[in-house]
Amino acid sequence: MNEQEFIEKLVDVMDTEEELQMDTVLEEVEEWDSLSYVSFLALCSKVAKTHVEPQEVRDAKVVRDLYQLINR
Amino acid sequence: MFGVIEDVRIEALATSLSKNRVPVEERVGDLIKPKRLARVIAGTGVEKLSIVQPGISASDLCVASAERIFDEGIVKREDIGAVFFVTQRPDYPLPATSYSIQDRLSLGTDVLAFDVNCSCPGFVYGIYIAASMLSNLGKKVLLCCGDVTSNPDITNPKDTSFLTIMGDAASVAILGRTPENCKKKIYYNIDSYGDRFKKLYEPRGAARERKRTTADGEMILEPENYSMMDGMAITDFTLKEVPDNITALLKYVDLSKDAMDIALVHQANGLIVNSLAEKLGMSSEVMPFKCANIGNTDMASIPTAMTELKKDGADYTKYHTALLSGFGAGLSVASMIMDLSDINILPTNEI
Repeated sequence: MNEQEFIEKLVDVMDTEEELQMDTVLEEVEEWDSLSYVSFLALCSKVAKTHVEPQEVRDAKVVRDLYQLINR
Repeated sequence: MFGVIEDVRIEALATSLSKNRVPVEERVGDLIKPKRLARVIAGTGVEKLSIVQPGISASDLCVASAERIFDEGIVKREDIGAVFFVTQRPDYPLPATSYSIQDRLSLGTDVLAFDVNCSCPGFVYGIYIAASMLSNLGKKVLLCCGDVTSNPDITNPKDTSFLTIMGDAASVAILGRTPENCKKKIYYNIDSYGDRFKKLYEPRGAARERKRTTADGEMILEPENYSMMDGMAITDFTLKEVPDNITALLKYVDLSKDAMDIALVHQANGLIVNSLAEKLGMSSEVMPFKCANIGNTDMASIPTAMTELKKDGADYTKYHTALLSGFGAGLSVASMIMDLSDINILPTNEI
């Protein structure tokens, strides 16, 4: 999945109106909350190449960190 | 743990839940802002919750369900040789609530009665136990299961993760041996992950630690006085160990997922059920979410989904190969494949 596709999916997961970029700081996005973590994990379950641990999602600081979890 | 139990079946099934369906907005009040609440509801797929009137317990719902089965003449009271109640919320700490259920249903004295403390996998565990008992029990087994968690001493009135999804319900199933000429098998796969028991647990109120109350005996609003759930860890479990367990069961019986006529999974919430369906490559027709106006009813959620399907006109004679899968606290997952085509199932009842 390329970066643009990923950002579109993430906007969907978070149900946010914000414009996300690869270096957007997650904790500054209002919708990056426990609800989004769970939706993001569900997304990983579908598209990630390797298993993503909940702690890795919690540890992510910027959008790019999440992208790397999907793509590694 | 894989296995097969032969020549037993579910003869009858009934669920009771509350007439009172509370919109989620009302249940959370101003704990969640409207914009976030809209996202929560869109995510969980749960809009209303079955909430009983004060004073009604899960055993009351079980008794109501069982009485309907007896009233319809599907099974007679005298045919019951054992009754057990799968619950995490007994009427009293002791004795087991099954004795009170036995009494209220006027079952004979020549019965076994006990409770089973089991969470969301509880219905499937219950079928396993009942079916296993039938290898030697001369009569039928009355399996009761359910929880009422809506009162604020049980569900933390500030914990939106439970407030937005938990509903009250209880179901009963009667299991018996199949007739001579009718061969049936129940296949099961049950796994437990005790290393993660703290991901969904209630720290206080039993041997390890007391509940903390005020001088007047009121519950102090601390999370440890209530059930606590690590949402991400549970999601991770339901999207990894649960589909692994189901896939392994399909392999054990040498059937593909496409051979499943219906998949009745724990109705945790809409996101979980849909994600599980996608993960296993099943459609939402085959693996439905039926609890949008009921909520997550814990160990009663699978039978609730079943009676809701019946209420909506499902033809059970088509369900020769039914997959059941309950998963939750423990953490544990219990899956089964069985034939439901001759089950006598009543539509959901409200009280």
